[in-house]
Amino acid sequence: MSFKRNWTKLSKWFLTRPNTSGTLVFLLLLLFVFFLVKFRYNVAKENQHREMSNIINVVQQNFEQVLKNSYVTTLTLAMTVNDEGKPENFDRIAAQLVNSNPSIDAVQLVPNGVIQYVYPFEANEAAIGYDILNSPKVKQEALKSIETKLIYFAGPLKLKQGGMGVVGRLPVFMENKFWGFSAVIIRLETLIKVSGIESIDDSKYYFQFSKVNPTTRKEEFFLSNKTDFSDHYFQTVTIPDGDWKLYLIAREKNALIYQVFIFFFFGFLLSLLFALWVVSIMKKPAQLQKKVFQQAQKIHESETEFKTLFEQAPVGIAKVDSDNGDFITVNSEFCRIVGYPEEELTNSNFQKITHPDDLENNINCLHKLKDGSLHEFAMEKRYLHKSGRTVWVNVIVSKLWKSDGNVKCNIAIVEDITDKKRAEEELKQSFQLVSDQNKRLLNFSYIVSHNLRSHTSNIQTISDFLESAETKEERDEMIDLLKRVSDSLNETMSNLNEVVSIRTNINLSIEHLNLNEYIEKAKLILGQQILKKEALVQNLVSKTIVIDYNAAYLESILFNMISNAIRYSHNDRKPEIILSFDEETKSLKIQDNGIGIDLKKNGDKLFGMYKTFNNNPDSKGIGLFLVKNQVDAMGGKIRAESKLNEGTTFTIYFK
Amino acid sequence: MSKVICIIDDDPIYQFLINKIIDNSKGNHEVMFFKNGKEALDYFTLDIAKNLPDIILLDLEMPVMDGWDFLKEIDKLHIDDTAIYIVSSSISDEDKRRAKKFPKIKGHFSKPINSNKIQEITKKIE
Repeated sequence: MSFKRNWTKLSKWFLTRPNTSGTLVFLLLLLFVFFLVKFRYNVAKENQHREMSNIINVVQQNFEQVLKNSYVTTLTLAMTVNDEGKPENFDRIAAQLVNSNPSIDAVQLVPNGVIQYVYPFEANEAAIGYDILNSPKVKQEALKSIETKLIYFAGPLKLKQGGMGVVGRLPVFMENKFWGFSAVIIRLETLIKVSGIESIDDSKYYFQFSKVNPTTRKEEFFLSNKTDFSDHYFQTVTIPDGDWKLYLIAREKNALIYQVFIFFFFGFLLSLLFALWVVSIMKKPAQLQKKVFQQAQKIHESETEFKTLFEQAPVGIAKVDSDNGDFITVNSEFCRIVGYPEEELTNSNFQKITHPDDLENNINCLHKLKDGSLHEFAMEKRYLHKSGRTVWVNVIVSKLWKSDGNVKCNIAIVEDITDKKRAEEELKQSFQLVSDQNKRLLNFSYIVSHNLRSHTSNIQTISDFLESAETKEERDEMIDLLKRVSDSLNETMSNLNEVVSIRTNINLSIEHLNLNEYIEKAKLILGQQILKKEALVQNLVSKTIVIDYNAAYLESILFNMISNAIRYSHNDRKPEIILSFDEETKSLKIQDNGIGIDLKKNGDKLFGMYKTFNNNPDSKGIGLFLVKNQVDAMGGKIRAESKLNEGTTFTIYFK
Repeated sequence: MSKVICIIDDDPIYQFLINKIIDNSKGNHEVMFFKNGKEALDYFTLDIAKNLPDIILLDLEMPVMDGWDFLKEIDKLHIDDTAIYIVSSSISDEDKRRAKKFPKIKGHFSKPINSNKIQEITKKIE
């Protein structure tokens, strides 16, 4: 696990850094190339070394062969010297030796250091008589061979007979006494030829041949090749018989380095190319990686934005399961509107918090949404807030389509309109109030105009008659009528005045009034009528009941209600009036067994002015009108229930 | 040509005055009085053929049965020979509009009414 994770991490690290990775690849390859080159260099060097050793060994062997032959030749030649110190058959043997030995150009016998016998004679005639031991140039080497009693090759030196050559001298002793030298002369060209130096591939190597000059102690080179090769690779062997040194020198100074350098150069180039290729390949995933990262960042940003939008929206948003109404997601405004925390809502459904009166309509709409007859719907509905109060909302519901075309959820946008609703309700109430007032006002103005006009029209008619009256009787009759009209008008005016005073009384004094006592007072005032009709007035109101009311109004209301109940009693029975109080609704009930009123017919006129419903001469149609106005003025209401010929019950709600 | 004129009005002074006006109009008309719609209706229905007047002068505001209710009831009797006029102290347009809904109503007068108007009415139906 951890390895895998580390590996992923590592590969990610590299994948996101193509340049670094490319450089690393380049360096690794270069290291590899370096080792390869080094190995190759070693192998090449080894090969060169071996090749040169082989060549130089062959040449050395050839040299030694020549020297051995020379040794045998000088020895054979020395054998020709007889006991008296005179060579025998020198010419014949020398000829045989020279002819059978291609490497030897000439032979000499040098008794006491003076050349006396040479073969072939013609070519070497010039050397005869040359005293070696007294010639400072060659003396040292000659003496060296006498000292060591071994053959010693002198030279290469300038031969007396012309050209360059080496001279191998074998000191010959007779009875332990130095006799002279037996010598071979090998021309330098011959030596080089037989040594095989010329047969090597001189494109790669060349030879050099040197000897430390015994006189000057300086190394002298004898081949025409370059002598300064200290910075070239070379091998060397020493030939002790002549104190010679053979060099095999690589012709090219830095051939190997050059070869290796080219190899290294191509390796470097390949590494570079490969590294660039790696970089270009890795840059693609890196670019893709970068793009993926940017896209992810964008998605994350837009997700955050949407989440913020959802959470901080000033409207409630809820995602609801379209099958069962479960809340899936809700935002904080939705929680605030309904008063439940999010956890409680997501474990619940919309049915539980919807007002039961709105639920059916809500579910119907959702069915329509589901079967496709609606695409979305909006409704005003009520939620039950956690605190128990009702919250009015405007809710818009639509389907939440998924990319595969299925619908699993609905989205509901919810706006709290409780305040608006309340304002609407208040407006409605005040509108009701105003239109009620307006209605009353119209009614009142109608009353005023009608009641006054009926009198004025009579006065007008009477005055017409007065004008045209011819007799005193006629005139008196009219004046009498005029008095009656005047009285009637006066009464109307006083009634209207009373009504106006009720309506204009805004600041009525309110007192604590004992209802029972006020009923008893009214009974006392109406004593005469009660007695006359033999009425039974039952005051069932508890003596403890106290109401806050205007005293004059209460007196007037009680007086009018009781007197009405007595006045409209049924002829077949004695009037029975029961007054009772309902504490719960704060209402007074006045129940009688009188003639009753047809409320279906006259309900709307019941409390109207000058409305009477029977032929009772005492009916003026003003009592109930005043009561209604007084009750209204105190903010209460009055209701009537009645059955013809059975009785009427009025209920006065004090507030 | 004398007519039978029926006055339906609860105001006794008006009743007295209108009676005097009809007397003065020299048409020799017969006048009958009812205090409200119900009383008039009760009388008519006792014998429709005999008791129906030629002209009814109807007030609107009355106790027990007002003018409107009377109109509704008289509609059910299907009488064509009686001309009904509204004579009311009301001058409101609302009442005039409402009166137009009853095709039987021949005219609408505001009080006071004088002998000229009575002559006008009685001439129309001759």
